Amino acid sequence: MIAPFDWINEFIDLPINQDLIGNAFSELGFEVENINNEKVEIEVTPNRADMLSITGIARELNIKFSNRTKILEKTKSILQKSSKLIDIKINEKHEVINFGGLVIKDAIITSSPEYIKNRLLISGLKPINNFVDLTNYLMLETGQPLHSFDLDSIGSQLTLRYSRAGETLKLLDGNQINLEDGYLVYQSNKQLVDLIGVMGGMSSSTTKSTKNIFVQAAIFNPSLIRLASKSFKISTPASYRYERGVDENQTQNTILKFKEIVEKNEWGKVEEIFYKEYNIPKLRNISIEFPLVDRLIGTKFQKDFCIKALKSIGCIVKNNIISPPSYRKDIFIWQDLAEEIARIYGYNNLIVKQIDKPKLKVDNSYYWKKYALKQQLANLGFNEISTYSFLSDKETKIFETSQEKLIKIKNPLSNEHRSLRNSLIPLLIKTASKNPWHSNIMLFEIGNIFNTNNEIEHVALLSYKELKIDKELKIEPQDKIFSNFKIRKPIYVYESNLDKAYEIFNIKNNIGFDEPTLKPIKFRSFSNQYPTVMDISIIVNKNIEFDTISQSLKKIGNVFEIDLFDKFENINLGENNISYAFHLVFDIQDIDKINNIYQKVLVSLNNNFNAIIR
Amino acid sequence: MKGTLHPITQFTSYLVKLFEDLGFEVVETPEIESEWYNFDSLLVPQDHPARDEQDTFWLENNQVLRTQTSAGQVRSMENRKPPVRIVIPGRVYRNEKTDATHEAVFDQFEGFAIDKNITMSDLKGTIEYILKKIYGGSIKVINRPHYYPFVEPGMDFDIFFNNHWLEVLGSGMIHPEVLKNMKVNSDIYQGFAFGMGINRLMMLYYGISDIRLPYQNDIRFLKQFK
Repeated sequence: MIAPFDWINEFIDLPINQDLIGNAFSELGFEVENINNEKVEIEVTPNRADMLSITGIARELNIKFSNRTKILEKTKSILQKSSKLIDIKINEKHEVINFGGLVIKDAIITSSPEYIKNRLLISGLKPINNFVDLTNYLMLETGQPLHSFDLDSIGSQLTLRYSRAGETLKLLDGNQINLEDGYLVYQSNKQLVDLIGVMGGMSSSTTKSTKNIFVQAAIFNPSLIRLASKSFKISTPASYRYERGVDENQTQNTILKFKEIVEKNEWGKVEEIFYKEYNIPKLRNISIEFPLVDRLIGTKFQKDFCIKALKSIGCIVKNNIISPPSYRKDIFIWQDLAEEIARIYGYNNLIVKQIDKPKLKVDNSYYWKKYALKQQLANLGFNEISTYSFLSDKETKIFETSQEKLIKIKNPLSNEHRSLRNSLIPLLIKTASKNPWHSNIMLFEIGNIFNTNNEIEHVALLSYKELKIDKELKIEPQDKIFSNFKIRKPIYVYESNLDKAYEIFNIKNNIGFDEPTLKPIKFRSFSNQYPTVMDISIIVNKNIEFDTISQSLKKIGNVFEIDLFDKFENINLGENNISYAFHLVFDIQDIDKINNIYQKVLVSLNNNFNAIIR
Repeated sequence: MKGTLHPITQFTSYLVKLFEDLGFEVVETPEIESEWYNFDSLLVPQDHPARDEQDTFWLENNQVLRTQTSAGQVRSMENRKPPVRIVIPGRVYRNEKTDATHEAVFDQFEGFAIDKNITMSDLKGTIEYILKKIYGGSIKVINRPHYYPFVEPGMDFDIFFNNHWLEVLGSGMIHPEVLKNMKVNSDIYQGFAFGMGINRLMMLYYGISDIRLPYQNDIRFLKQFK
């Protein structure tokens, strides 16, 4: 919700300091997405429909800046109960909470005053003409959606009823919708003219040539409006507010304000205004025991404070019975009130206490056994990967069996992602083929595979060399079923469930493992080009650790990674010597530059480590 | 030559260890869930606007790919009785177009504790302790009220990191209706629950700016977490 400051300031005198305002929102539970001199944009969660209006925001800020209010009493005015000028039939009274409106004759359709246009633009709505704008403007101000009809085009007659299957309606945005039974619509002159609460019909809209107008201010069953909005995939500022719950005590105010602005600007003759209540929600009475609040929150509150806090959000307090205000449609149980008390107290002022340590150690051996397998595989040289759980049809075919049915996603991201994976191997191969520059690739993944009504955790391995596991699969570049992966060399893969893998890799129950730690690594980003890799093999004195060499070479710069892939000692190398073979990985493409660095690396190896380049 | 564990594995197992020391049991629950466990049992019925916050992958028979590890809350209580302390790490799914800050697949870490005397103070203290373990003892932590249908009160945690306040975790006291769905008597027991996005916490920790990198599995990425 975007709120221009000059608008909020009509209802509350806010401090100039934006940090104060930002903090107030944050402490009250509204994330500030944007704030500047002109406006503030806050995130409003679905429970707080009352914050989808300027007056609601002012009211909430009033909790924090309470001596600055200029608001906001409900104007009690007794209006006639129904229209004498329009024949309005409400067939489904039980879906209506309240219903009112204005009839304006000899309307002058013009453009809105600057302040209205500006505020609409800042709020993200496009100014159209004075009447359309005023319905939007007051909706933003009070939260009450309004809808204007061209009175002549509806022949001064409207019937509110359920839609019937097979009916159609051409909406304001030009789209035609096909209705089913049970949505709320207006019928006029034998045709549908409005999908109530969501969007008006094209035929009854207010245009330049409109002379007489009916403005509806009403509230309907929120679930029904949500259903319509969902079914037709149309969300409008009106439907958004309706489905979250509009304050029934703002409807009359909004009608009166509309009248006032029309008359002040001389935009036409307000011939009548009317308002009737149908199914106004009863005042909720919530019984609260204050010691329970302390017990839940863990902080001791004075009863006086609790009462003051609840009154500050508009509750009526009678001993232990609390009635939340009509605009707070999210408060039902004493725990909701406890949240309000804690919120007003300030979450950051609550007592902080770490949970008591347990007496007995918990048994998570199942989890740690799996972790030990991962560690064992890493120790053997496999890099763990994490791939999507989705496969394309082609990819699922590779390991599809007649007994197991695939699980399909009804609304996939794309055709590539239509099924849940029935094997980990396809994406393991895909990962290998996406890293073609890494010649001695070894990968594994542990994750769920899915078939029929089952999800089972599997482990899969891939290597450039034989795995030496019974039933491993050798995949050749020319193998037809693997042809989309475009592999260049033979690779070996294996997949099994966890128990089988524990057996193969000799992972016993309660096996030891290195305790997990976080390494303070600073991530280095890389280009989306393939890197250039050069392999070097050297013989050095075996007292020289490879890490020392690696550290030293990295200082030359532009070497992205130094990756040891082989080391060995034998008599032929000389008694005190060791052989290291490693990849130099360059994340640059300039060949001259790479050669230049390569030469520097050779020089450094020779000078600093007395290395023999093989 | 040793390979590396995926950074998500490293981060998750580190968290499991921290919580294990505080008496939390690890429970893994399915990625395919019924609408009941993923939504309704957590007080997000079909006609609730909160449903819109999570774009869902639908399967046959009203099953979904879980959109949150919270889906395991009620399920994991089916064969347990309070007092309990449980963490549920795992993969979750959202039907979202992916970009540098949105992924359709990511990992969450759910946790909850139920006993007669677990309070919001325990929640604050426990999570603060964990965040300080990850990001260092001097990290500043604040709380904000926030709405999640299945907790009451609801609370977010922000940390001050790289000169910004960043939201890192959602939490709250388990809603009495959810306790009821767990067949736990809410007059006697109460508890806290929290859920964190592993990817986001991990990205902050290592300084990774693109959420898609962990699933692209470029060797240049994987090898950095030696």
